[in-house]
Amino acid sequence: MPLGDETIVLSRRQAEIGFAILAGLAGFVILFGAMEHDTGWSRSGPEAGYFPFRLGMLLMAASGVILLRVLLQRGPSEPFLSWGAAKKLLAFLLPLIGFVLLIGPVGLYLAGAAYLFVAIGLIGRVPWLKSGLIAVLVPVFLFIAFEYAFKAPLPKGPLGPLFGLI
Amino acid sequence: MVENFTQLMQGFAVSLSAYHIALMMAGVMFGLVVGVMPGLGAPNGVSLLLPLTFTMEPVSAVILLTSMYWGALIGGSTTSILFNIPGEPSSIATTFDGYPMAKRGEATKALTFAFLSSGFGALFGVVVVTLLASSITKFALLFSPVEYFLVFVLAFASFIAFGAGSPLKTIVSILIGLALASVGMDTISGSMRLTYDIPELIRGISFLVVVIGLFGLGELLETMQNPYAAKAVTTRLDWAEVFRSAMIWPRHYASLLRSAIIGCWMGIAPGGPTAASFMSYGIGKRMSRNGANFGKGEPDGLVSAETADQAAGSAAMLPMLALGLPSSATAAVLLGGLLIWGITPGPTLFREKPEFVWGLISSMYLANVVAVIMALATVPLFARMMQVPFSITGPIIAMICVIGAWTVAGAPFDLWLLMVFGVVGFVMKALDYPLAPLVLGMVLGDRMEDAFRQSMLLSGGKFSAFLGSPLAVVISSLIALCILVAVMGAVRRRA
Repeated sequence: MPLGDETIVLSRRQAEIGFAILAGLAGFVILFGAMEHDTGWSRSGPEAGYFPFRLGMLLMAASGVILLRVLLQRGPSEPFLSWGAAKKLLAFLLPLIGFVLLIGPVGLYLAGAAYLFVAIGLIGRVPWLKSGLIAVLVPVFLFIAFEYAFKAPLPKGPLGPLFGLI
Repeated sequence: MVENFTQLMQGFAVSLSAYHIALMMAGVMFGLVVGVMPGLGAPNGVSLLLPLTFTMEPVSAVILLTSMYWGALIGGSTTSILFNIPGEPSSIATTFDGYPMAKRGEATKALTFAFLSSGFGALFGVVVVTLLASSITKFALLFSPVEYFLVFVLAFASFIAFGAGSPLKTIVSILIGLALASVGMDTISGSMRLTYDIPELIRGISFLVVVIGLFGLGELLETMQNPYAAKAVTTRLDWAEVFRSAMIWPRHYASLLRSAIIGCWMGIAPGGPTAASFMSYGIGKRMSRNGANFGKGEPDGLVSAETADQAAGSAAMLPMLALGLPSSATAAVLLGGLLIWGITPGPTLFREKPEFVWGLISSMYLANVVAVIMALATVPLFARMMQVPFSITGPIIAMICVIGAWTVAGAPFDLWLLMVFGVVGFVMKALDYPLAPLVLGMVLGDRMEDAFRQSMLLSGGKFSAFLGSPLAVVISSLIALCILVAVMGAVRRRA
């Protein structure tokens, strides 16, 4: 089936069910993590696992009730995410993930410039010259702000020594 | 009373330095930007700036960050009125009458009314804080770990009973927050909890990273789905009209007073500015002579929403300082900041660090006046800034969020947490899971658990300790009442 922008990829009911299951799983993971410690009492009061163990149980119970209520609901569900909206989300998230991946190898300023150029120029369809200018000026401004004004240096990658010359 | 006044004067001696006034102006300016731009909210804005204050004096840091909060609360109304886009959740109620007024050609009047009402609400709130400070600390001295634990539970219970979301979803939110708080070293036994042998989890999960993800990236993803088309009603401000509006503004004294009282109440009892503005708008609609015109551009409606919003914001500082109990997401972030700066909130703080407490309270008087003036002066600037398309501002704000998460600890792992919580925040908001209780849970989690374990230790493991003192009985009954309200609400929705 071809995906049109209007095609609903996720209904609200499916999203509710999915999140309740995830929250319940998180509850189980917390419960499991708490069991590595004593979850009961000792002479020094409740042990390290006492509180997280009960949090995990409660979280499983609360999300279980939410799940049950959604499952018992009848009638048509509203749309939650259309293919068009999903594409917009991915178009925002993927460059951002690329930016985070690039910070390690090339440093934050260069990765940021590349990210801004891709996100504003390529995806936002802002004219090349304008997006190029923004992609250069914003990191330069941030560089001055963080390295000099706030004295909170950000990772500079292999360009670090170069900046040291300034 | 007299004692409070002398303390306040000593506070002014701290806050009225050139350095602190400059910090107030910078804070308000940052706050206005944050308040105006959708995608940059007050909790997120304060979280972004907080790591940069680690090296500052606590009192200077808190003046900077609270000024930012005042700026954000007030700045949110500019876009509400001119664009019908609330810059902050707490200024949603401002759009109801502010935007119709602007469309009718009364933008200047609406903005003037909104800013002056905000200023009035804030000052009313600060006066209440000043007057109550010493009595609430005396009251707070009666608190043992038992009462502290109960009061934390009460804060969560009142979110469940009176919050906007469904009670079950609020509970899930709180539990996720509490669980996130318990990751890392256990404060009592020193053992590592919920780290699953992942070395990055040993230092715990920073609430700052979570807030920037939930409120920053989450909101950007939301805006990405429905990009706003910013069409300003006007971007000009007629100064003669500002003056004329300011002259007739006091005629709304009844709404001003009523809303300021509602705001203070909602600020001290957990509720926060957003709930306060809605509640005040609703009550105003029933009580005002012009109630029937609410929603059609009635100045009384605008005044009701704005006054309560700002009054709640400033009154929230009182329970935060005296009990360590924040009543809004931003107050929770500020509380986390206090702990990082080595300031332990509680009744003894007023005796041990008077220069900090009263420096902050006195700065609130001045910073709110600064905020009103700067908000008026920057209307044309921000109206034009809003017309920059989201395809440009969105990625820039996203980049600032990434940098903000990096400055917390300089850890690459935090950036992945940021991404995860951005998506989680987006999904939770879309499914009507409230986010503020999660932040509250994260900030209060450790102290709530400590209070619980200490009370159990003191009582020898008997749960009857939670009814052991008159004060504990009162708080326990209030918790029971909240649960009753929540259950009755759920039953009524079913029927």
